[in-house]
Amino acid sequence: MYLRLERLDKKFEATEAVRELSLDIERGEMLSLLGPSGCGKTTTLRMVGGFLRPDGGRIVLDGEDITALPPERRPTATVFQSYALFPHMTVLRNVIYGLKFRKIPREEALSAGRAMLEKVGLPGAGGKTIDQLSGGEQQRVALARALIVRPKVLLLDEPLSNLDAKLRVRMRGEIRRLQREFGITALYVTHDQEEALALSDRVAVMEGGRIVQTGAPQEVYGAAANGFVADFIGRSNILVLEDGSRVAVHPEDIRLSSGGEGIEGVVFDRQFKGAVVTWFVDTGGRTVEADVPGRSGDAWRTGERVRISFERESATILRE
Amino acid sequence: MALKQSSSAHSKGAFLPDASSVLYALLAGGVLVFILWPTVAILKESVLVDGAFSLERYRDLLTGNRTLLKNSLFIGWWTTVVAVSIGLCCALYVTRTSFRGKRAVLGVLLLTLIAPPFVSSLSYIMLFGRRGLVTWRLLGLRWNPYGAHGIVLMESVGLAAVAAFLIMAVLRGIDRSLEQASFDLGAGRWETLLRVTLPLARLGIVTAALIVFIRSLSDFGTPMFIGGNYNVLATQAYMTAMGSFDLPKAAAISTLLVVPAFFVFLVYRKLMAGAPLFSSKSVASGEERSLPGAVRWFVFAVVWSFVLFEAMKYGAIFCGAFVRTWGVDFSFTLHHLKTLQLTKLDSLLRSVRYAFAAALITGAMGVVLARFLGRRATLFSRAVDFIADLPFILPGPFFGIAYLLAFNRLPEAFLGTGFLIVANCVYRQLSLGIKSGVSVLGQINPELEDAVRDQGGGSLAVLRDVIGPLLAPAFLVSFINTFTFTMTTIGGIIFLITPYTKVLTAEMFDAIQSGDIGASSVMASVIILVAMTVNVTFSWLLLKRRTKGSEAEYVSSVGAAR
Repeated sequence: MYLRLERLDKKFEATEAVRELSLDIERGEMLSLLGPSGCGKTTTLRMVGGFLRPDGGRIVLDGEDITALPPERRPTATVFQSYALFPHMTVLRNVIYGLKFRKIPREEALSAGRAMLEKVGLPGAGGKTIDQLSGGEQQRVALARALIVRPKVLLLDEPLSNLDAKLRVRMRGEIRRLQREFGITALYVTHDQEEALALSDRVAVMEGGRIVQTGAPQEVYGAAANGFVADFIGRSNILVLEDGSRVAVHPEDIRLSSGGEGIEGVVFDRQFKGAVVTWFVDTGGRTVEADVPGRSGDAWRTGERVRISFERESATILRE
Repeated sequence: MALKQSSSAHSKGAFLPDASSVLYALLAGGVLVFILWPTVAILKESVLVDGAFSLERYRDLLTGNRTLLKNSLFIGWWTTVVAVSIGLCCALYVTRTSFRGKRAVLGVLLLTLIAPPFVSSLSYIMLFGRRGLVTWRLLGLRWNPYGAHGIVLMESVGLAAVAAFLIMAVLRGIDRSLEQASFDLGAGRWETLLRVTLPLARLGIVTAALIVFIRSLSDFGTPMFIGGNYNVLATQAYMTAMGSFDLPKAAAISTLLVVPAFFVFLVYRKLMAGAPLFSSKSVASGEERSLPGAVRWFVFAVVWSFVLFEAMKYGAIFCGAFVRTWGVDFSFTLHHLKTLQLTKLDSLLRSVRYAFAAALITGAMGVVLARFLGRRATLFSRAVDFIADLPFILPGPFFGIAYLLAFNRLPEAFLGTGFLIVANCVYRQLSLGIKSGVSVLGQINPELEDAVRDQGGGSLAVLRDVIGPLLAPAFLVSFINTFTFTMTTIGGIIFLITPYTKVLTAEMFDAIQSGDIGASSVMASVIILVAMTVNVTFSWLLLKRRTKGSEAEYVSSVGAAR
């Protein structure tokens, strides 16, 4: 294992932010820590970066125990949520900032900085000041600054949360491209499940300071370990079967029909979303959402009776 | 989510080297020795009669000096009413009208703010005195200029700038969309002004009024020069300390002046707690024609009368510096300037030296203390913060006499270095230094410090590369403010001046007292010129560094702070 977190504990006064958290990340892998706010994902990231000292447990990177090292001596680099670019320095000086602590001659640093700016898609922006850049450009500078010091692990703390929806989608592709290009190991913190699924090799879902499920995006999406994961990853309908067992079914796996087999319900609303239409069906007090592809927003009227069915293999059986 | 928690975990001092704890202890110790101890010393002196506790002096004061007390309150009340009215008009003019000439108004206000306080008295004598240019030469009046009316008039125009800047800062901070909402909901300009704008600015207006009130109470120069037989408490305190050397009595009189000051202090702290000096909050701006027509023209009239009056006031002084004998012989001469160069050059240089020293020390101490106080939320730190804030509001004579009592056992040779004068100015202005530091630090993204460490820099690199450069504006504001204050103040330091530490304001004070208008004018002009030069130069440095924010905004932030 390249990066190993062993039974990490962290308390802030009375609240336990992280509890007995263990996680292994392989070399060159991109792993997302995914969870709602307050689940301990940023705390975990900050412990890896060295900004927080764990109360218990160990962090081992490339065979070396780095638990007690201060951030400036760790081979990690962080892309901060606020980007944390130095407002009083130019773009280029921001990018090469870390190189001066690595005793790299200024000329060499400058040309490395320019080359890095080109790689992140900002050729010639070196002389600008930070406030002349757009949010997406600042994001690229932050990435350049973190990548140039060749860290063993790249840490990304909700890096896209300050961008608008369209840019977010584009930048997550960029981040993934750069991560692959540099072959760098990355730990990515986000609360956006779509983002986590789209850009990671593996996803670790967190709740209440613990990891509740780790796996490839398809696994986590298709076979949620429990109700929390099922509900948090994508939207899920929780249905109770005849035998009393509870299952989770994603809205796109629900079929609606006017007759035949299935659970009975009444359509009470619909939302047109472009690629799909989401139908809201009341099944005796429990709402079921069904995504039906196409633009046929008039297949049913509100108040109409429908039958709900799904394939057994698309349903995740929930224990507990 | 964890961001907040972790930065508080950060601030536990885990990464602060020990040297910084020593520095903090030294700076906090300084606050106790140079603010708390003198304050205790003067309070003690005022209640000790022959070594025993007694309130006898206060009883005597309240029974025997009824007239003085009444006079002080009378002057204070009317000065407050007039100065705040002018200040409010100026503030509305600059922030709520589309009239031209805002720069001129701001310029005159800034000039008033940085001119020595008793310059007003000098030009009053020159313009409206027995041989005054206006009253005698132009109108041929024979009247007695000395009395309460002159004091109120000159204190009001002198203090209007303080009120104007405070109210301006508050008016600027009001989200214009609230006013727009009021218009949108069908309210007229009158209703909006009276029910939205002014109520939102209420705290600023009240603070301005309280500050003007205590400044007026503690001003002894104006009543002394142009009050004639009209005597007030502050003058009495000065005379008692410097004339009859009855320090205990002077202590009691100036302590009496502190009572209203303390209430001001509480309101002031409340106000400043919510008003950053460097505002990053973006408030909706809007159309500026939001005042009712009648109010607009009233404001216009008041502001321009004030501006013209001030222009006349300073014009008289600058002219007075170059005419032979004001009121008698108006021929041009460089005589006064030469005399200054021959006899008062030492005092001038001393003033500049003290001002530079005080400004550097206050600037540096302010930002460093801001960093410490911002990071340690202990009871001790809160106490230090509170004590450091006190002198801002304490009347000058109180703080001066307090120093005299607290440090009178220091060796004479040491006093000759001007140490006490500089210390007095430093600690009177320290609170602004801390405030501008706290305000800037509060806006520094804590992740910037993390970024330095993440990139491989230690705590020294954090200071050198991030905190230092970003705190520079706070240092500059504090520097400019303290320089100007030290250069122009008299109320506090006049009690600490020895023959070896005479500064130019003290020379000027003596010259006015002995009626030497030429010498006084030339000294006043020089003081104004030096203070103006430093203000302009350093403000330019400050503005060059700031990418956002306008000149006017800066001026009002400095003005409000003072």
